[in-house]
Amino acid sequence: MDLTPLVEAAQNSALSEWMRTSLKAVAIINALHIMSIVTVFGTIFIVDLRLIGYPNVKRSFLKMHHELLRWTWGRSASRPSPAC
Amino acid sequence: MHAFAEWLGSTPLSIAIQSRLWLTPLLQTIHITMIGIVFVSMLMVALRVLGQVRADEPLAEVWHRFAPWFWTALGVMLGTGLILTIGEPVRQASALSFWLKMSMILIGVTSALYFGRTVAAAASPAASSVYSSRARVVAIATIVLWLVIIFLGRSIAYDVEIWESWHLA
Repeated sequence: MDLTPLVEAAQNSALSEWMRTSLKAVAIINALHIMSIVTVFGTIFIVDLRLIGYPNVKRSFLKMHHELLRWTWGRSASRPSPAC
Repeated sequence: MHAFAEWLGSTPLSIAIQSRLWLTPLLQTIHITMIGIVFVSMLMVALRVLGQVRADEPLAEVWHRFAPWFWTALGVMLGTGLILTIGEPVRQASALSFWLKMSMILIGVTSALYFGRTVAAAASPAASSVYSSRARVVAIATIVLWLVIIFLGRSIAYDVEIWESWHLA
């Protein structure tokens, strides 16, 4: 599958052009990207610790999954990929 | 401060850090991983105050669950941050984002210390306790504070672009 046309279309899009020409765009989106990935990592970390039983298994996995993964997915959705 | 940063950048320790090209990416990776643990630890406690997670557990229990992670990760984060700063002191000292980040970390750490002592001193509240509007505002402010710290940390690399004439160099 040749992805070149797709990549070229992205490269020539108005959004891409704006990212390349705006001084602040890359900086701000990059910072937002880090904020989001930090939240994604942290919430998955807590759920995974529970899965391996650390520090204990007192709390129901399903309850934790329900409480935390909405934050994980919310952050993943708001995690734009920086153009450069 | 600029003169001190230039002197620090010429010390053997700083040159040793600068000359090991693998060290900075490694330290940055550890630094960002630690800020993830610090942020999410505070996020869990703040969300407990807001009644969004672990609402069936007393706040003190939630705090004692996450405080060791918070303090340990904060220690590692400060250690890696210190080495990164010694490796690039002029860039850090010239960045407004760096000084704003340090000020906010000071506020975040002081409030965490105060919070920890308050929680430890309080008699264990009922698991289903609902917190006052003031406590909820403080919880939201804590989340925002740590998000701003993360934002400013990344902004150090783009200080000129973000702050323009406010950049300190």
